[in-house]
Amino acid sequence: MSHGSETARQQPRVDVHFDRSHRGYEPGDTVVVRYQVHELDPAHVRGIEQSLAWYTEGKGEEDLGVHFFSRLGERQARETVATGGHFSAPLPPSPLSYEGVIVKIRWCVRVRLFFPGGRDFVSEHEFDVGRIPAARMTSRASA
Amino acid sequence: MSPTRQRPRNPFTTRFIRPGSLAPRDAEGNPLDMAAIVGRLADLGGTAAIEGPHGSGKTTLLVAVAESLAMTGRLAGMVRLRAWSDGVRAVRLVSRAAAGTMVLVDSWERMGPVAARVALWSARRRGCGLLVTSHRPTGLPVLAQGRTSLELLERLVAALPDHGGLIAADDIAAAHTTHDGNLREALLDLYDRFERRAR
Repeated sequence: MSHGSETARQQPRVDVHFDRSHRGYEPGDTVVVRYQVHELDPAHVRGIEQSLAWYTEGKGEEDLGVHFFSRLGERQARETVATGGHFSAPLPPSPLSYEGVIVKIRWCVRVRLFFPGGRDFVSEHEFDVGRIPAARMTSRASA
Repeated sequence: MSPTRQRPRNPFTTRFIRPGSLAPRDAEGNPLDMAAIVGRLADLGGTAAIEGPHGSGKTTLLVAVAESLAMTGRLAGMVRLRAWSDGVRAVRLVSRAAAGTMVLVDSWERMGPVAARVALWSARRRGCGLLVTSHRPTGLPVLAQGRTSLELLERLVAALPDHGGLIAADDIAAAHTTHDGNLREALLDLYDRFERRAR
């Protein structure tokens, strides 16, 4: 999922490659991420934030935890746009990915690009931590 | 199977339907002209109310006004009244606001009468504006009156991420009727319908 306030004139694309093709990890595993930024002139980027985060999604209030975060300054960001970026981080014991009915927990790699004038562009790429089966609805609940 | 990634994404989650994610629209579902709304607010003297029933888009419009004001440096702050202490925070914010700026208060009906009078008096004294939302009449000039319709709900659903055909037109109509036009509740109803069919 990508979203941002960059103009339609120049909408970048971020391709993320995980070191596991199925994007499934266990707590304690190290996530190794490589990414490429496409359709963006390196001269236009002012900085990049790269992070591993989890967030809740569902019917109620949302929660967010940033597990790993690093910010690249202008020079490093331009190099990254030109040649690609990478980072790695070990995963914590919790929370685990969960597909509940009322609430879901999702993990993602987030790459945020900054442009002149305070504009930005965010690209999110999900992966799973743990193997909790998705919740099922009872026949009464699904009636 | 992957716990999360291979399942269809519910487009009715808070993430997509919260104020700030959905653009404000009129009762027919057309996007509002925010420049015109902010201009009308100035015409009303800067202090006004957005009134309407629950789930009629008051907070969505308030957040959009906040974003417009923030872009021009005229937003002093915004308070959503959820607890007693939020009322104190709102009064404090108004009493410190610079002239020409705006304080926005969501759920004004939760302000006690004394706190409301103090906030209005402080706003006049400071020369700042006060825009509030309420589902009860406030006695303030009305900037916008929240109204909903089935057409509006249909347009909102169309603006959300794709539901993959799991929600039919009849579902939208039923959600609208069941919740008497309360769009927030109707969208959460559609969340439940989506979950039932996606599993």
